[in-house]
Amino acid sequence: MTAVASSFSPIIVSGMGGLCAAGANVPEIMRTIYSGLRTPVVSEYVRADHLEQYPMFELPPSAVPDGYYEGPESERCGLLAIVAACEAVKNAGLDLDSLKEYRVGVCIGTTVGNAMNNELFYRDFLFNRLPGMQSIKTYLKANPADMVARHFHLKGMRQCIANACSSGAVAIGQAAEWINNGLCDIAIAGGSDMLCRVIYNGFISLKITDSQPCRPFDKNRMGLNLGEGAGMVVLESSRTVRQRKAQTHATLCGYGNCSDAYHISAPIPDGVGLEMAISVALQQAQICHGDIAFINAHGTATHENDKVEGILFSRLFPQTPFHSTKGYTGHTLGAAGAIEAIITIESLKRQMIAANVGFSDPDPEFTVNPVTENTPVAGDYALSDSVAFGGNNAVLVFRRTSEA
Amino acid sequence: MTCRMAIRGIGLAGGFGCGTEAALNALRDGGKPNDVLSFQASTGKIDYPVYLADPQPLKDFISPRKLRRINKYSQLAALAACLALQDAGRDIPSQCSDMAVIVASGYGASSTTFAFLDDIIKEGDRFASPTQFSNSVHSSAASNVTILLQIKGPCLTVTQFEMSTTAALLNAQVWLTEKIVDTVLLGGIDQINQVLLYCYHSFWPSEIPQEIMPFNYDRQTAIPGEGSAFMVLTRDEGDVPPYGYIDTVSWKNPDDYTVPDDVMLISGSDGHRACGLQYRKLFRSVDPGRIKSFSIIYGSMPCGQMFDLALASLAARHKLAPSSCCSIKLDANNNIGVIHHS
Repeated sequence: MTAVASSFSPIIVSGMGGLCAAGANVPEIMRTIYSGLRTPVVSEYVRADHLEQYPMFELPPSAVPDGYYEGPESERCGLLAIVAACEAVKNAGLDLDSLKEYRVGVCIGTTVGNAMNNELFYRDFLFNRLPGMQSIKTYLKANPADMVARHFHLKGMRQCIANACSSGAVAIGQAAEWINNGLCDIAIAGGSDMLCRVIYNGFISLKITDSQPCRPFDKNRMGLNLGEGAGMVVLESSRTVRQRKAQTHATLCGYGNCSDAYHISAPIPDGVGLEMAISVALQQAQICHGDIAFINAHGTATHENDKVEGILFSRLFPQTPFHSTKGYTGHTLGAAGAIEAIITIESLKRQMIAANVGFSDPDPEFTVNPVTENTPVAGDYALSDSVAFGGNNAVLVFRRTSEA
Repeated sequence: MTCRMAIRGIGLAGGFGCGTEAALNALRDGGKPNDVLSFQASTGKIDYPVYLADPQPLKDFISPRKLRRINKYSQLAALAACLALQDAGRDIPSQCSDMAVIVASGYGASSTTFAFLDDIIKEGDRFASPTQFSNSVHSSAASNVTILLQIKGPCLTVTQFEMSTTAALLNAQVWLTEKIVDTVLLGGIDQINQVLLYCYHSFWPSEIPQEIMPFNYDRQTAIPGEGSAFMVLTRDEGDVPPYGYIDTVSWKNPDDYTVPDDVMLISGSDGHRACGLQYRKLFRSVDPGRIKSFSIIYGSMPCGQMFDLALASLAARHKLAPSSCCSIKLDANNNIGVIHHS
């Protein structure tokens, strides 16, 4: 790919919200990951007839308070998005009334939230038991971007991004570009995903799930643990932030999105697609590799993913501290890039990154290792990368703001 | 300020066949369902008319060996993408590396998801197929297009039902305006299956339509279609692009939108009564002679607006329609996608 002469302007993150197995909101998530605690469990709800049951990072049913349900057509993935969006909107100092004063876009990434994959319905169809249409009505109303827009009475543009495991990061990057190009004033952006049997069986079939708590970047890693949750940010231009006198968590100053063009479910071994996405994001931020204070890696704990990132970081960022936080959250798929963007911003504000839980033995295939304890960092820029099925790579670069 | 986009090539695959010649024939002769699919309903076996698309011509572009594990959903997308690139005079894959890919889809790879569920339900969880799973994600079409055509630029899959095409074009416009890429390969793709037909019949059991009547807003006449429509888009480079320009793309609400009175209108109405009522309201003061629908050519599908745009561009190039038009697509959430072409 040729060099990018992009006109990306920094966009401000003025609100954040999230929930996952590590916590019901952003402060709880950060407390958990700094404490080193993690709670993968064999699910009571998502089971299958495999010889082994695989632990997951699951949210309790109470994660979605009763007040958020809007009837039988309220699908869980969209509800998780609404819970996170409510926290983000409130955190940004906005509410239903003040949102009406702006052109607000909604951009949400997901893998499950837009899929017609209701197993009970399909089982009945397959055996000619003539299923009713309730689950289809739910599916037709389940688009997370539509659900969030409906919840906040928003009439502006919205879209659901389905870029597999980079969806959350891509949604944030695209929403920033909308604002840059004047398509909206404010955007609610992020990702949301929920656990289900299709996903559980699918990842087990790929033989990339670990029957123990996952070990990102460890030599003996055996695969990922699935997770569920949502992460949402409120994005706006500096003009809107000044006008509203809003707080500033950080500035999104670079977004790269590039393709491996290699394989439907494996990353290209030399990581060239991810390297290009990093290069694009750094060019947009007008900084070099050495300016990055730390990296929140994709770090799924699958052999191939971590190897690609490890080799690439060894070459591009030999001195830069990095960690994967999937040991605390599980791999939340379409939500991962957004939850990790929020963790990156919070870590940048606090100048402290959490230990890469699960890592103990260095992998001889690369020369860098993640941090093994909570580690102070020094600098203004941080990078979060996401790697997805089909070879889609997304990179976000955030800058600490003086107010942070 | 976003740029206008030049249309350099188009690729089409649908019930009418594939390629611009087949599409031109359909524009001249009209279209109709080309096949029937059967399923079991409460009243017995139902034969439902459909617009089925055939991905076989993809073998003219891509080695069959590379297509062995790729589902029909992705093959249809790759076929239309190859046709669009060929039409634009771009060599595959040598002139593809730097471009971006954006795919819009309403239903995604649902047929592959059901195939994945078949294995689980009939054989057990341990027999889940990794190949089916990898191809069942919405992004599989875009990913396979990048892999087959060796495209290494940005990639995006947008799924927003009827608004998918409008949303996808807004992203393309942003990428071209910001000069992130010089070319965007953008397409819409949807696939049908018996489950979808069962749902159609369950929602509207009273009659099985034999033809789409896009302007009969009182009847449910939608007939499911499948296929893919792609375009090669660039910034306005000063020359005259073969298929004209996409001047503006906008997301509107009926409360604050009035249809333009100076161009031909391409209605996204495709026989769905629920949206038909909204179309009637929107077009109530418009001369019916100024409104056209192409849905009888490709069928009813969420990403139909991509076909509308491609067919309108093709018709304009071959003097079968005015050079300027406005494509209007409504969704069930009171949104309107408006695309001006000249």
